[in-house]
Amino acid sequence: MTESLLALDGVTRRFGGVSALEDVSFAVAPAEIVAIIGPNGAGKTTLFNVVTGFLAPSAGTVRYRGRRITGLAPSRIAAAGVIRTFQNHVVFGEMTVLENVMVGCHRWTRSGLVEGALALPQVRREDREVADAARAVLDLVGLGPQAADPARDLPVGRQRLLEIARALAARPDVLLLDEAAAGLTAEETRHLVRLIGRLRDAGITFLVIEHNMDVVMEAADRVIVLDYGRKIAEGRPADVQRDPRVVAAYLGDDADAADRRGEGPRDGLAGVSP
Amino acid sequence: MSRDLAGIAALAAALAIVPLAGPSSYVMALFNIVGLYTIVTLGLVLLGASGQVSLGQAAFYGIGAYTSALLARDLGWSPWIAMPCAVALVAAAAYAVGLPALRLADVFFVLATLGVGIIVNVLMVQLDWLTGGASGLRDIPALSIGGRRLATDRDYYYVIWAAVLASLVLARNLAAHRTGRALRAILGSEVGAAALGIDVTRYKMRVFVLSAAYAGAAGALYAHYIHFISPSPFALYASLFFLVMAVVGGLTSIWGGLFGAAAVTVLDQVVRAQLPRIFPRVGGEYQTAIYGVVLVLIMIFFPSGIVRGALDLRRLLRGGRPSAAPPGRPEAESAGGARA
Repeated sequence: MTESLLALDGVTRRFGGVSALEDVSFAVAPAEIVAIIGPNGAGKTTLFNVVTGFLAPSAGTVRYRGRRITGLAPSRIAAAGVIRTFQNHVVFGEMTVLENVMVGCHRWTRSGLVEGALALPQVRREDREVADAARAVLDLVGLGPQAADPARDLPVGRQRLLEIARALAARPDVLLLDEAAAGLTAEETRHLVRLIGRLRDAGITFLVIEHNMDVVMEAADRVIVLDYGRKIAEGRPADVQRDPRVVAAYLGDDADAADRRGEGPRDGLAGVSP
Repeated sequence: MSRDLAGIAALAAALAIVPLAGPSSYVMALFNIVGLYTIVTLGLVLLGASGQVSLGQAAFYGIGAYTSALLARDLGWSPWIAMPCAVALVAAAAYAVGLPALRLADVFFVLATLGVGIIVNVLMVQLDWLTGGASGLRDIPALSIGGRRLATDRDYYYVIWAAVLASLVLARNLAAHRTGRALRAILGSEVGAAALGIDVTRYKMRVFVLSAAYAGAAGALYAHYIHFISPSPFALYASLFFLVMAVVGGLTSIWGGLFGAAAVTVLDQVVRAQLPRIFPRVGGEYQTAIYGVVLVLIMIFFPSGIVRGALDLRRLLRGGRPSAAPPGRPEAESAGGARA
């Protein structure tokens, strides 16, 4: 795994006495699609937060292109090409759909405050380029017709697509999608899976948290299973699906543990069966 | 957005006509004060675009005024050199304030700017040898253009409103391009903005320095226009006054700066002139109470300010629906929160 793009080594994150992540290590190769699955509370989003710098790990390191990114500010990590979406839609509600995606282009544009205030020719040129790029991405996810709508007026599923469009506009090298298909219709989900495949062919690396097992089976090259913050399995989707530890984690052989965590029944994964 | 440019052009045309109507020097002076306040308030509107609030603008306004006055009067610099230097000093002061203050959460940032405002005002009174203390600075040189010394309110009207138009154009451009989008993204969600590579603290600093520079420019113009400055117009009350203007006008549009400054200044004048006629025996403190009532009424009926309120009203009259809720912090974000 010397040529891994993203590598986690012994990543641990504790909240008080509770370990949200415990000694998690894995690596992601360029243009690979890796799915992170696991029951609610397994630490999936915490893992994303650590990778993207929103949380500092209690121990362990994250490397990107061989460089240690642990401890860098989220904006620095994003600027380096690691872009994420959020589980609980974070759209800029006061802006239009198009403007949201134009913000996504921030990473690869350069004009500053003074050039902007003076509206210098290169700023206007850059803006046209940004608007064109944003429209192209909106068409790609199927939000083209809603470009001029206020983002807050979009239904939940479409806000998810908007977040993905905005992340794509950033021209990421690694894209982390937190619950990529949640809230999407079956048709939108199929479209998204095809889109992810195409983007991977174009060289984008994916790390995807996903509950819909059909999506995981179809899209992922490799699956990493978390439970109680530990990596309990890793492998090809079909192998992982049959792994007894994974089945046990999902079906809850220890119902007491779920109670301890104050959760209801674990949300099952469609398609997982012993 | 190009409608804004058309609006600025229309404003420029209207402003060119005003002096032709032969207004009294009182009206000209009123226009000039509104113009200066518009520049300060525009700075606050820009700051508000990223969700920040400052209660220290009067201090920056004052530092601009004192610096330009001292450079021109005591060192004999041309005001045209002194004013940009004053603006640069104000920007540097804001940067120095921002370094520690922007590390604080929003509410504490406001308190920090409030503290700076109070300290600066105290220094204006106490640094007698520099500022002339409570009695202030007299005989501040006037501006001159092409060897002609500007003397009348009408002369300054052209200079001040040219500066207002320039401020509006710069603010509009800024809002329309990359930096403006980044600032509005920060207002929408700091976490979301950071996840797209926007350095939130850096952008907040830039716009804070810019808003202070706006206030400093207005202050420098004020000093050369009035020829006399003292600490009292730069006290905390003035910072509140500017904030009221920005909120009344609305923090979402550059026009909020202009209409907020105009509405509050005119209200101030009307209250001062009419209140003693209606209630002959009440004192000046009732003015403050009336501002309070007006502010509350505006916040109830036009929570996004009068500019957006007027647009909504027009849309309602045409049978459309109003634009949605006022901008503000979205619900708490949990990206930095606990477990998935």
